[in-house]
Parts: sequence; C-alpha cells; structure tokens
Amino acid sequence: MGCSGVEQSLSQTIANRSQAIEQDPNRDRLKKLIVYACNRVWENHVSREIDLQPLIAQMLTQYPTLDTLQDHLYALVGTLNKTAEYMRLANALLGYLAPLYAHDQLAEAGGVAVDYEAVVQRLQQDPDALRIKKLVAYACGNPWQNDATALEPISLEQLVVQMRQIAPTPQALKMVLDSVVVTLNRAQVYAAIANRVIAAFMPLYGAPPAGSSSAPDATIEGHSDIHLSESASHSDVNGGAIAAAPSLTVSGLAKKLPRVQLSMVDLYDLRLEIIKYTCPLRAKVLLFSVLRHHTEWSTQDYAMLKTIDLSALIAEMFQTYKHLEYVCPLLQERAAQLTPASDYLQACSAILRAIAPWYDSVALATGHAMTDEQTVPDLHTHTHPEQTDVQFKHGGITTMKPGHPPLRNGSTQYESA
Amino acid sequence: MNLPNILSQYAQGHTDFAGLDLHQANLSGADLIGINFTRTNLQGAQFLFAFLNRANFTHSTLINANLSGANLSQAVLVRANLRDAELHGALLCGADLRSADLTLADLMDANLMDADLRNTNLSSANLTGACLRGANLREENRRYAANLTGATLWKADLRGANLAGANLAKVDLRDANLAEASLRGADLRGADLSGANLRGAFLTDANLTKAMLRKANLTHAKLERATLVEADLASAMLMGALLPDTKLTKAHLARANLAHAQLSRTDLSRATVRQAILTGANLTDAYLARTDFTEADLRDAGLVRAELSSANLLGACLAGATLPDGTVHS
Repeated sequence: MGCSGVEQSLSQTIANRSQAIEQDPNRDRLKKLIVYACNRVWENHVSREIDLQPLIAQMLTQYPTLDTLQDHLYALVGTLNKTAEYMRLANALLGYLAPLYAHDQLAEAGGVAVDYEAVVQRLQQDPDALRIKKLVAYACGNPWQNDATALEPISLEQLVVQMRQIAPTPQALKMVLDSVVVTLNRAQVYAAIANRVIAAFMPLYGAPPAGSSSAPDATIEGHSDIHLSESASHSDVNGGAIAAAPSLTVSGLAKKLPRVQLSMVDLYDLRLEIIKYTCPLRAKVLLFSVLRHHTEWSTQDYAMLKTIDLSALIAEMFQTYKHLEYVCPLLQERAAQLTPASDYLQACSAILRAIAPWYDSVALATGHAMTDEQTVPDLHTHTHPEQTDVQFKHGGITTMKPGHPPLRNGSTQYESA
Repeated sequence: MNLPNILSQYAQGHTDFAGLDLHQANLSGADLIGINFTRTNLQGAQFLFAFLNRANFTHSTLINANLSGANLSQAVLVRANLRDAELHGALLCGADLRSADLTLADLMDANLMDADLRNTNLSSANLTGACLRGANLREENRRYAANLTGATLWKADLRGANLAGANLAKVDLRDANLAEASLRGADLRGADLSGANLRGAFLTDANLTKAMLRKANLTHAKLERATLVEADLASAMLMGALLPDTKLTKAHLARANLAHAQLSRTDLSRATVRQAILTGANLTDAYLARTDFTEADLRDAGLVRAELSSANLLGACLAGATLPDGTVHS
C-alpha cells in the first residue's frame, strides 16, 4: 500500500472511531475528555455537534503512542473531581482509539507470541469466570451488567483483545482494573478477581503466566503512580462539586495502604491452626458470611462455598481488615446471627485464637496500634472499615508503613446477589 | 426401624444400628458419636454437620451421601463406599479410611490429618485445600497403593504425609505443601507441581516423567534415582538437593537454582540448563551429552569425569570448577 493508501486507511479508521464514540451512551463526557486532552483546558459546555475527527487526528499527532496518550489521559483524569468515573471513561476512550495505534502495538510486541485463546481459556476456568467477564467488560467501557444473559453475546476473547489494547503494559492493566474496582460495592471481592485477571494476562506481555492462586500474588512491581496536580481542580457540568482537596488516584491510594506479606507456608500453618480446633466448613461459612455479607444459609448455599477455598478466605480477611479490633466484633456478631449460634461462636473463637498472633505481628512491625481516637466502625454501615494489602508469597512477613483508610471516588456499582 | 426410633434408642444409650437400610435418611446435625453403622445402606443420606466421631461405617454404602461439615474424627470407614460423597469441610482427623472408595468424592477443605488412607481409591476426587498432614497413603506390601489418578490437590497441605508408592499420575498438586513428605517410588508422571513446596521431601525412585515443577521449592529434597525425563523444572529451587543417578534427559532447568546440589552420575543429556545456578554442584561422572549450559553459573562445580564433549558451555562461568580431567579452571 502506498503512502496515500495508508493515509486513506487512517482517515477511514478515524472516521470509524469517531462514529463509534458518537454512538456511545457517554458520548458527551467522552467529548469533554477529548477536548480536554487536545486543548488542555476543561470545557464544561462542549457542543454536541463538535466534529470529533479533527480532534482525534490532533490527539494522534500530540500523543504518538498509546502509552503516551494513556499517561496523559490518566493525568488529566486525576485533576477532575469525579476521578473514578472519568477513569472508566478514559479507559473506554483508549479502547476506541486503540485500533489507531494498532501498528505501533504490533511493533512494540517485538515478537511476543500473543495467545489470546490461552488467556481466555484460563479466565473461563476460573471459578469466578462470570465476575471476571463482568469486570473486564466494565473496564473496557461497557456498562455494568448484573444480568449474566446480557453478557452472553459479548465474546470474552474480544474483551481480552480490547483490554490488551487499552493496557499496553501490566502496570497499565493494574491501573485500569484498580480504577474500576473501587467503583464496585464488592470492591474487595473484585480486587482479588482483578489480581487473577492480571495473572492470566501476563503471557500477553511476554511474561510467564503467574500462579493462579486465589491468594492475591499479582502485584506489579515498580508500578508507577500518577502524580497529580494539587492545584488543578475542575467543576463537572453534571453536578459534581469542585474538588477542594488534592486528588488521589486509586494506584496512589493503594500504595499508601499497609502491606503484609505472608508466605504460602505461613498461610497453610494459619489454616491448620483454625481447622485443628473447629469444623473447616463452619469456619468457611463464618468467614464467607462476614466477607460477602451473606446471612441466609440453606443447603444450596453451601455449593457457593466451593468457589473459594478456606486459605483464600483467610487471605481475603487479612486483605480487608487491618486491625483485630475490627475483625473481632464482626466475626462475633455474625457468628451470633448464624444457626446454631453456639457452633459458630466456637468456630469464631478458633479463628480469633489463630489469627490474633498474626495481627499482633503486623501491629508490632508497623508500630501501628489502634489509638483511642479510632473507633470501631458501625458494623452495619461500614463494609470496608479499613483495608490491608496482604500478599502471600514465598518469604517472610514484610510490613510497610501504615496508611489511610480507603477513599471512595465516583459512583458505586452494585452487584445483585 | 425408622429414624425417630433410631434417635430415641441412641439417646437411651443404644449404639448398634448395623445392617440397616437407611438410604436417603436425613440425619443432618445429629449427635451420633460412636454409632455403629457397619454394613448399613446410607446411600444419599444427609449428615450435614452431624457429629459422627468414632462412628463405625465399615463396609457401609455412602454413595452420594452428604457428609459436609460432619465430624468424623477417628471414625472407621474401612471399605466404605463413598463414591460421589460430599465431604466438603468435613473433619476426618485420624479416621481409618483403608480401602475406602472415594472416587469423585468432594473433600474440599476437609481435615484429614493423620488419617489412614492406605489403599483408598481417590481417583478424580477433589481435595482442593484439604489438610493431609501426617496422613498415611503409602503402598501396602508393595501392592495396593492409594490411587489418586486425576485427583485435584491444589493448595492441599501434605506436609510430612506418607505417599510412598502412591499413584499420583497427572494429579494437580499446584501450590501444594509437600515439605518433608515421603513420595518414595511414587508415580508422579505428568503431575502438576508448579509452585509446590517440596522442601526436604523424599522422592527417591519416584517417577516424575514430564512432571511440571516450575518454581517448585525442592531445596534439600532427596531425589536419588528419580526419573525426571522431560520434566519442567524452570526456575525451580534445588539448592542442596540430592540428585545422584537421576534421569534428567531433556529436562528443562532454565534459571533453576542447583547450588551445591548432588548430581553425580546424573543423566542430563539434551537437558536445558541455561542461566541456571550450579555453583558448588557435584557433577562427578554426570552424563552431559548435548546439555545446554548457556550462561550457566558453574563456579566451583565438580565436573570430574563428566561427559562434557558435546555440552554447550557458551557464556557459562566455570571459574574454580574442577574439570573432567581433574584440573581446576582458572
């Protein structure tokens, strides 16, 4: 194909992408984001009739690679007060524009065999395959779907390809997934799922597949934060308040959370300490009830417990709750609600006895004991009182400095039971 | 005899209910500690969270029975038929399950500590997250080994378990804890042991042909005379492991750490040992025909009488290594 042929093909692709954006339910906000990216000035009132094609062409010139475009978009999003919402829109926009960078992507791949089928297969074999599809579809810019049948027409392979185009590096993938996970009401559940998605995607980045353990072990090392301007803040026409405080990105936030690393052997020892003194199924029911807010148990509900093993639930508990002072009343209250309460209180006591030394070791390592000013949150309203990032690896305990409780930005998507 | 009768008689101290037909009986949550259900038909019975400590189920039929969360500590289940039974999160500490049929049984997160599982059939059983510390699955009189063909033991805890001679072909043992476990003469052909902890495990004479051992921890493991033909040991940790007389033909050992490992008389022909660490390893009399040692670290390794004539040593570091002719590489 000659030079004019390439230009013609590019202009056709731009026209095609422009049309796709016009059909998006969030086209007005996407247009605002495009105008912001091109002019570097936030416009609260962007004309609906604005022609996107010259703007997209300008973006291609300004940001010659998908990486640079992504970095720039994320940095801009960080200056907005609805960070999470616009992070999702930025991801959608990257999805729309990725085909324009397709040739660069191929060149960047540098001979890495891209086996989407293997990744799809691994994701489909996951016990949480449906939630994975929900999450990836949402991260690709599709609306959140509670109805599984609505997701059926969407090919998982297409989503994987799209996701890979949106996120050219593992760090970008983590950032994209993190950005959408915090908008979900079951954030801790989806955080674990996001880690498994990252692990499954590793071969697409030329890395060997990460372990499929449900314990989160897919943290990207050296993952770069987006540093945002503390002064820049903008009002959103859709009713958002002007952000007065410095914006924080999800990745920035995650870095500020305390981090504990336990070895796989430690985790198995901990599991053993629990099941030595109580029925493993009772322990699972209790932990699952606390972590997933599931209160009604019938014979059929036990099948649900087969989607996650006890060690993963223990890992998730450490990941979700930083202080024993939080875990203790939660477990005791839920145990008292389950039938028969006496058996669950016995299980509760075994769990607390086993985990207490680990929480103590974390508190000692961080020097972060609960102070008098900190109060135990209202158990009925605080689903995520404080989060701890626990990693299970071959190695000892590593605890990083204590951080802030998680902040929530943007709207929350509720998953139906 | 109907169920209310059984429960009332049990409450009065009667424990022998052998030989009854109680299929589909619902005994969920019942306290039946020490009950005798020998040769009882309990097919499809419900024992969810029942207390069955020290109960006797010898020769009983428990096909499709639901024993999830049941306490079967020290229960006797010799020759019991537990095909397709649900034992999810059940307590089976010290239970006697010799010659029991657990084909396709679900034992996810079950506690089988110190259980006797000799000659049990666990083929295609789900043992994900199960605890089998100290369990006995060893071969009986060189016959009647426990059969775990096609079983899932992902994240299972088998520390110190006796699996000598057991059939573990194609078993999923990813991330399993097999530290100090005895796997002497075990059949592990095609098994997936990726990320498994095999520190100090006994694998003497085991057959690990085509086994997946990527990133497995085999530090100080004993692997004398083991067969590891075409095994995948990429990035595995084998520091101080005992590997004399092993067959590692065509094995993949790229980036593996074999520092101070004993590899005398080992057959590493056609094996890939690229970028592996072999500092201080003993390769005396090793057969290294067409072995790929590209960029391997062989500092201070012992290569006395090793067959090195066709090995690829491109970029390998041999400083301080004792060469086949006995000279020390400067």
